[in-house]
Amino acid sequence: MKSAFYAVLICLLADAGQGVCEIRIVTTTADLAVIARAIGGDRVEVKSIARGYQDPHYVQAKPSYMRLVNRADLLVYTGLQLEVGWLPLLIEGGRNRAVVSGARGNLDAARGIEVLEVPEGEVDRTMGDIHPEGNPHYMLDPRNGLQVGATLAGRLAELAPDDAEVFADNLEKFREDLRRRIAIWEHRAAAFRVKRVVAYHRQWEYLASWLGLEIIGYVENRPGIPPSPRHLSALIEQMGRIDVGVILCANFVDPATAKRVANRADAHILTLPITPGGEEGVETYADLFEAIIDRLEESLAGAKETL
Amino acid sequence: MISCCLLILLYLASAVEAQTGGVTATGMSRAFNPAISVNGLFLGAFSSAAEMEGHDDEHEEHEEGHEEEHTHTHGGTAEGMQVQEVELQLSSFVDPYLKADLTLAMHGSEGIELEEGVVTSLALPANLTLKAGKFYAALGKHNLLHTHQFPFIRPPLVNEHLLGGHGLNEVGLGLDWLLPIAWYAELSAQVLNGDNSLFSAPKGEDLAYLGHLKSFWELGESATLELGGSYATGQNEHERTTQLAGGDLTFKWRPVRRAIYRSLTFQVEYLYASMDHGDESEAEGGLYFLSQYQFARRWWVQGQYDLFGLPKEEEERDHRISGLLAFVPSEFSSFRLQYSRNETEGEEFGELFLQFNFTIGSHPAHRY
Repeated sequence: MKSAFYAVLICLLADAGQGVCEIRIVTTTADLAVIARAIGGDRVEVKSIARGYQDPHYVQAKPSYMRLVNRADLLVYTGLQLEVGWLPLLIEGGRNRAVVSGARGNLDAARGIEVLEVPEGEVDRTMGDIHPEGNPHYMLDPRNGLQVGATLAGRLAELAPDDAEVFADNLEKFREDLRRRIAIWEHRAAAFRVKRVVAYHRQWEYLASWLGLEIIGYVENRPGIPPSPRHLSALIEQMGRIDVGVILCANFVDPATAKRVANRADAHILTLPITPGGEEGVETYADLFEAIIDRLEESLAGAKETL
Repeated sequence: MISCCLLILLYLASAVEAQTGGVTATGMSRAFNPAISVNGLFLGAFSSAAEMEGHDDEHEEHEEGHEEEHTHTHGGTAEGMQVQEVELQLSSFVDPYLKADLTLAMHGSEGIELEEGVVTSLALPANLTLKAGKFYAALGKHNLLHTHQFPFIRPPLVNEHLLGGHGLNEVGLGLDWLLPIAWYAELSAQVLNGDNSLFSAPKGEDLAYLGHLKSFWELGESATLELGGSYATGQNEHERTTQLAGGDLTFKWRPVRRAIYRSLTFQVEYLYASMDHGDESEAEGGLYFLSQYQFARRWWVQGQYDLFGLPKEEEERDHRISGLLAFVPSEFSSFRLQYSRNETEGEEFGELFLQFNFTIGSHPAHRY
């Protein structure tokens, strides 16, 4: 009882003006933020640095974000070098011992994730801006969302042992709901008549491997490097040959190049959000897949299988 | 049986290490090597002036004197094709308390210089960071930049005239404090050895002191505003006071939904120096205004206006207008073409630069 009183007192002193003691969580991307909110409930206050409609590779290391990191109790990031161009500066400028690498307040969400496309052998930059630890877009497989939820609940319980039960309950609810939806999404995807697609960036491997789609080529064949005309004509030729009618494209990509390819290959672009907050009406992690599956269904289910 | 287990263990251990690339066959560990990157700058420079200002060659033979350094320019103003600079950057954590960053620069194709060598604290309380070593002093915006980060090929006239070609780059101590207020504000206090000719008092007591306040605001999600003010003071060669003051304003815009295709920067910076020489005193100052516009994913167009001679008589002022076109194939290389029109002491001349810039090695994070 006495310790509880002190705990409340400390909270009041530390957070003058706020009645509730919350764990302040800062996430790099919006998908991690919505899951942190689902697991943490009213015990946490969550802010995301990148917006849902922003390319997470190219976030600017604005000093104002250093302030966010400075005030965080827990910093959650995607890892696999997705944020390598900006997060190190924010951590350095944040001057917060609680969230530096190795501290309890520093959480790499990629822990426990089965990473795809880990390069075999040495990599170099002729391959473009490649991620040497593997493809970092794992949040586009909702089963990885289940894993991230568990990772987060574990860390939150370490940071606030008194609330461990709350986090465990929230996790259970989150996972139950997501598992139920995953079964439905998988069922719907199984009915897609077309399985072959082209993608703009290497963003969709996890989604494709989950839904059994086959990505036969990329508009941007080397990550971060605009494609050459020669590559594009080869791609268009290939799309014609095996009759691929859909190009998956994240909604922060300028669609001009993809449009040119689509026109010449008689295909169409499927512009998709990659994170919650990516477009209006896509608020939760589940909303994201509802939107993606809806749109895939529209394009892939009705189309004639010609092969 | 046991030896079999041991063998398996050994095999597993070596497999793990092979994956992380940590150990050579002879057992030397590479695991804690610093992050290394190399930046190269190649420059072609052509001028219509009879002789270019601050010609490098004359000074290279007797470079030790600091007076020489004042005119020896970093930007590389010798004519013809040249290796402007090669920079080697090494970065690593020393231990749980310190981080070290070294920048070794080769100007031209020979000679090596410690451009920056700093250890920074990681564990100070109260939002403080302490650094020690040789570094670019926190005087405004442009002075903090390495040559390959310059927005234009050459430094602004005012920086070159007041601080010399190397800028205010000093051995010293610095304390940075992130202010606990509602917006981002950082206060820096630095004690510098005073090797720059502005502060080179003959006796040992030539320390210079510098203060800098930087404030930063987000204007919506796509734009930002930064405001900075600096003041420095120290003893000059006449054992009198030199004072430096500066102010800078930077506006940046980059739409978050199309972050890699469009951006815009406006920056203005003013620097002022007053030197008491005993019998007379001298006041000099100048400003630059620059704008950078990224009009396509890999293309930038930039303009800068330089003015040196505020306060001074109209006819004693130097002006420069520059235009630059940059092609940036990837994050790791760029080609830049610049034309400048100079008006120096009544003489007018043009300069043309073509610069190639590359970075190899560890992926650098991009300072805002």
